[in-house]
Amino acid sequence: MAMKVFGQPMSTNVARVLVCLEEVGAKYEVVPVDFATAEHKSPEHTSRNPFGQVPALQDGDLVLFESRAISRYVLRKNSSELLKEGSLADSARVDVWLEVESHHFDRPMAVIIYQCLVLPVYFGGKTDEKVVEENLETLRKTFQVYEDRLSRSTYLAGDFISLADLSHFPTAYYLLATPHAGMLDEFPRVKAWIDGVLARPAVVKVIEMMKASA
Amino acid sequence: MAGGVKVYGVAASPFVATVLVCLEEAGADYELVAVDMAARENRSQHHLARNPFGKIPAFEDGELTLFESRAISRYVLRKYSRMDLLGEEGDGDLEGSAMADVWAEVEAHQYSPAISNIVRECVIKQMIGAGGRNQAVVDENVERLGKVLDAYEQRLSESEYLAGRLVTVADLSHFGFTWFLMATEYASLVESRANVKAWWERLLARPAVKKVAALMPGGVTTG
Repeated sequence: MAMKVFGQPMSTNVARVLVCLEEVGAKYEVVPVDFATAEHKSPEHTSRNPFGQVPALQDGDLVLFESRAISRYVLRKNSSELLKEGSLADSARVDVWLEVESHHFDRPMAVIIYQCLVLPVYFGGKTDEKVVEENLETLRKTFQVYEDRLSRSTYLAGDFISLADLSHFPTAYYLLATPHAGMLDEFPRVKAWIDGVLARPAVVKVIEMMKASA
Repeated sequence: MAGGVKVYGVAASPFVATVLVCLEEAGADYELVAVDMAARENRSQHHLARNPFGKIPAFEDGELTLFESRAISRYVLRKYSRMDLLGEEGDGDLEGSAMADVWAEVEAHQYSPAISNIVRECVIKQMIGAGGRNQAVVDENVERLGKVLDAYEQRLSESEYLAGRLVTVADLSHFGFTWFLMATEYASLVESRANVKAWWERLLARPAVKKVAALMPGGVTTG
């Protein structure tokens, strides 16, 4: 039976799950959740995700939420090498850089994406440039760490691609759509690494889904 | 202490406390190596070599260096075969480990962002002499945390622990920040919710948690 993903592909958190499903070749169905009609706050959706967010995943009787937890489940269920669970040390490194993605990359990026792409386009609002600048500074410090890391290994967790790298792609894709994409020119290894991730067939496929749902 | 692992940081940090609780639960041989935060030792070259973001904790097991408390905690529990604390009731229990992962993410994305702001304003800033409380920030985050705890109250009416029947790292990772909250007037956020209160008391009763609590400044034990 196909797994169901609740949410729309244009959401970075939904896209994260979709890329994992594509990587393992799983059968799945995307069930949209309409934010415009507050469907995400409906009793039906909050019974799947008590915080009223997307994505949620249904696999038979199992219902999960939180994209990184869902991603781990999908990869683990299909014995994917993207978690490196056969190696205590390698899997720990994957965990480290997945935490880094979550706390040092996604956090400032979420603000930048909201201010530069969501607020003006969907809410007719004005970008707060001061807030954007503060978060670009945080992002710059993160990229400095990444640039150094990527001088020591091909990918974040080691010389192997992992969930830690893939988890960055939806947000990185949107960064390239903001006026601040040029920041990546300051970090050539980071830029090359992002380009490599965005070229993966599974990622290309999900990007098409993200564009179609926007 | 050959073969033992090292944690770099101070027990007063809720993130360090999470790692210490996991090490105690695992019965591991470990050493807590102090990092002098007041002297900004966390920004020194030798600490940045372990944690490039200049935060605590950092962790060493022989040649392996890790940072980010939740990643370290997972490593510790795997290394010492405490897969039960990662949600696995039996070998390769996919559903159990998935539920533990879900609620560990909830702690990271819903609970800690709200509670850390309250604890920083009400407790930490005073401790480190960084100025007075910003009540507006406190009020905003008290409201935020209240909504999160409403979801917890509902969840904990369905099972004893967040992931289900058994305690997991998802529960344990709440200890540090909650410890500090309970010493403020905002302890009522927990006290006023019967299931959350009972869950917190179950956590506090654990020998591993008691051991780490004894290392932490201030705080108040309930009951």
